[in-house]
Amino acid sequence: MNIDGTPVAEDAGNAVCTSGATVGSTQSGDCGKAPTGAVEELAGLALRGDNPYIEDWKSMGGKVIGYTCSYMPEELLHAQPCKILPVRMGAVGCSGTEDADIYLHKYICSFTRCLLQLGIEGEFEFLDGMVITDACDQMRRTYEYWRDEVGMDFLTMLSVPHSIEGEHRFAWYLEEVRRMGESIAEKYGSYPSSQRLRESIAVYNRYRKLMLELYTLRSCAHPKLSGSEAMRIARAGFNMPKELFNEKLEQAISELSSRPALDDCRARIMIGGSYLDDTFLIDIIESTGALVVSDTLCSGRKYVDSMVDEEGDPMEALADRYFKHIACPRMMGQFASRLDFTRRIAEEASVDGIIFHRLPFCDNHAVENTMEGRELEKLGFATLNLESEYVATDEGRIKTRVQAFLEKIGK
Amino acid sequence: MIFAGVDVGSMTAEAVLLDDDGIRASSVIVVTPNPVLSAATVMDTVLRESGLDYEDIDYCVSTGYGRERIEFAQHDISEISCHGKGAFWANPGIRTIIDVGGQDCKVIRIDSEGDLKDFVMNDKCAAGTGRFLEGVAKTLGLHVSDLGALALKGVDPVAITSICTVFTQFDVMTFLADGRSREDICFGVAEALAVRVNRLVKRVGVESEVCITGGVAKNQAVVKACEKIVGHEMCSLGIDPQIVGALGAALFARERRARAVNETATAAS
Repeated sequence: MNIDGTPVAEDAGNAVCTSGATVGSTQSGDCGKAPTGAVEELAGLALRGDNPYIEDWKSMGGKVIGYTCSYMPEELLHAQPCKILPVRMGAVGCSGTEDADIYLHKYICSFTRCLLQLGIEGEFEFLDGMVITDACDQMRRTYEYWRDEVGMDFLTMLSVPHSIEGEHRFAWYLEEVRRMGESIAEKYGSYPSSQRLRESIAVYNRYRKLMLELYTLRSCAHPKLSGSEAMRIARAGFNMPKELFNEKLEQAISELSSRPALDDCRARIMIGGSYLDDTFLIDIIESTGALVVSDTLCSGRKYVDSMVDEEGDPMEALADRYFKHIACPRMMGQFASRLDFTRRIAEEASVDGIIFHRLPFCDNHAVENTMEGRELEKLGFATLNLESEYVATDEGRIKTRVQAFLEKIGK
Repeated sequence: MIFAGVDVGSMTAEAVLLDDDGIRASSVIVVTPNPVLSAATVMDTVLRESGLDYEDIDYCVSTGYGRERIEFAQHDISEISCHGKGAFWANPGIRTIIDVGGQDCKVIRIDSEGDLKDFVMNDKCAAGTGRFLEGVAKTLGLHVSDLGALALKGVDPVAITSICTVFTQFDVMTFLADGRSREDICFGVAEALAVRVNRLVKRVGVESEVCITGGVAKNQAVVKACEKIVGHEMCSLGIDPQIVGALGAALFARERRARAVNETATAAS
């Protein structure tokens, strides 16, 4: 199963998953009896150090490197002969940021502060290292505290130019990616061959294709799963070796396909925004009887869009995909393509409305959501702009807005 | 037939009973920390005052905080739609409603049918809400209901630049120390609130006629300041501005009951 057939992945694959996390009930409640099998396992997978796949990986001597941004080319970590599991870091379960607030001002976004808080609390002790990008200033500001306060054994910064235009910017990013590879080589004495990199690219392309299939099961006329379930499945994908996740996901897709559809929902909603791995917003939306059928989140639909070219030089192909995939709003000159993307996804999913979410002080998304919302309204889409902290304690406040939005669109 | 609406706010709760002739009774209470209890208390009060019982209510809609947990209501609707509905019933010319409640400030646009067209609400911040006035009143040692009359006597409003309710209280202390009159401070506070409200108005757009609902609408100085700063006359609704949300809920109750009857009739035929 693993790219070189070492026992690491196989043992992990045979591991009995007895995660303690409970599977939340599907919001609509009318999808028949609770699923058993891959859907249930993925949707209820424990996170971080409690995750059985990560535990197995580590017990087999594998390394785990966390990262925080969709501009980090995971395949380069995955392809390392020294066995590195890339994990996209989330902060679900964080309940307050009292320690992180000592170092980071309240004007720094709460996701960033929540991550650092969990880091200080030791929740990321299972990580051997971490890659931070300077994609947003908020995350960039935390680098020193991960180094000095949390004390990551391996920590590196990947710099991402602010525009994809012109060959020099791509050359810069490619150099950054190579430099990251070199810093891993320096630390672990490991450097992947082009062949290994190609194999990793194939694994990740398969992952992206399967995730897109999962999206189709939501955005189709008769959705098979709730947005909340889909987010929990996607989250499992951030926290598992991709080969194993791909197998499970394929199984989950087949289970979901034979499930009765979640018809008769009150409204089909799409959400847009930055990184969101906590289901609170989807839970609020789905508690009104609406269904979240797609998204344009950087941790969601955007994350799995665009394949890496499997021909040509793998390193360049990898850098090309990660640099030029559907852009984060921090990229200049890309508004039109982002708007086209949002519009295309909304049309594909036949949505009744689009709910944009942003974290306070995320200027990139504050501007982006407002601009996209304004343009989409002109095109006839109903939109709602919401703001909440990463740990949202004000459910009632958000629900009032969501409910009024549904009433406004006559749902 | 009796239709009921109940609206639990952050500071007060209201109940309205509608009969065939219009508003039969209404009641306003100060809330308890438990919204479900507040809803029951205000409904008990209005029923007692009008000599009715829960069994006499044909349909009830709840709105406001904890609206989905009110057991005696058959349905819940957001306070945004309810304020639109209530204001439109009171004055069918209304197209924009500025609702300034205890904790929320919202601007609601409705169409010529009274249906919700667009809305905007304040973010998680007390600026431009009743809490803002409460804080100022406390600093001045007054009751919040005294602020309006005092402000109307003000001549030279103090300039409140801070966006934060807590910092505004500091500013008020400084003005007092500087010897500024309470009248001028209240005048400045009313204008500051109108400026905050106007930000929301400008964000969602404004169409005549415009009205103010919610408890803060009882402060005439705020109404006057809003007229000046928003640049539109604030139309009177001819009813207590505080009960508009509950009234809207009762009107929705009447509509939903009629729809249910129609559906049953269609199904039977």
